[in-house]
Amino acid sequence: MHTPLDLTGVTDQEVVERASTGSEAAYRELVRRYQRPVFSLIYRMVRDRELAEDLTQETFVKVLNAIDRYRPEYKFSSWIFKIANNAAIDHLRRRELDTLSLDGGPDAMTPDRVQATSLQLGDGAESQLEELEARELGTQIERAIGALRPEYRACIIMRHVEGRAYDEIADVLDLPLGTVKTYIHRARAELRESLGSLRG
Amino acid sequence: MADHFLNGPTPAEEDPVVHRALATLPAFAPGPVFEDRVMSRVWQPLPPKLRQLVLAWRDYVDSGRVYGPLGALAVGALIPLGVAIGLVVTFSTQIGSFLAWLVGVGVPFAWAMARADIAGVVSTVNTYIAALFPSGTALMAAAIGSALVLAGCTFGLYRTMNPRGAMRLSR
Repeated sequence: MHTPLDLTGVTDQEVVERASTGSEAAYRELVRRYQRPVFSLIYRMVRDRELAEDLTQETFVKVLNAIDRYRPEYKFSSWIFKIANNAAIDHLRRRELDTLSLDGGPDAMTPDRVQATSLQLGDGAESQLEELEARELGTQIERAIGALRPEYRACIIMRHVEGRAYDEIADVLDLPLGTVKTYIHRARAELRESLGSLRG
Repeated sequence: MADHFLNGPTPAEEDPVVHRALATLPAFAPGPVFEDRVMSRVWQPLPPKLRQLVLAWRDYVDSGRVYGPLGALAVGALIPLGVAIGLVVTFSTQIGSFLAWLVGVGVPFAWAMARADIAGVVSTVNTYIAALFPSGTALMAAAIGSALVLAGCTFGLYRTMNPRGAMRLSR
């Protein structure tokens, strides 16, 4: 039996079960567990920190307010990623921001907006040279991911940043397994091409 | 091997540069008060017992079993309606003469009684007010005081329904 504040070792299914009986601690635990992966996914999709926070917030509010409709035969992570991805894709479709610059979104007309729509990278504790290399590599890969089609982008982030299995990605994106494999293969090929200058 | 079959070649196998680049991608985090912002917009969870009742009712509705009792209620409501229509048709002459009496005698009589009662109440209240506030100035001061108390109560009620903290959190 866990105390209300100690839910760290409890499975997602159990936390959701507690949340559906009205436990506020369980609601907060779900937010703590998924705020970083969900925010990272949405941020990399929309490239605007403030907007990403709003969409992440909408995702959590939607999920937590419908927690009693969650079906335990599905993974909770698949459910929340599906809602997050749909929120990001809906926004991109509305704004038609299919490919965005790492140096700021196309709607960035002022220095503040450029700052808001630039991904903030590189705060590791490596040596200066390693940090510089990592920063350059990180910048290149973020730029390359930003240039991918939204479907490819979602697949590659979920596979290589969130470490999700192919079948879970297929479930989240409502795509056949074969299509997900194709998207990831093509996305890797595009990334390889974009990172060509760093080879050797 | 099974993972390789399911998930294809790893990026490390396919291209070490892509693999190294993907490995540098950091996880981003939302702002520090994010959790509280979300919780301020999540419905207050119901107490467990009440929630069980709500869930049981929802299951009952979703299962379709609710339509039987609802149909019975609808039929039950039709029975008195049918009886009422039957009574009106059967006793239409008596009902007609009763309505004529009501319009011609009953309503004017009731109105005269009510008017007399209202006049009596107004007169009594007027007597009390005149005794309590003998001058026009005192009456005016009492009216202003009452208006101020009413405004204060209204503001207090508004603040109770819209606390400042909640307004700030719900962006």
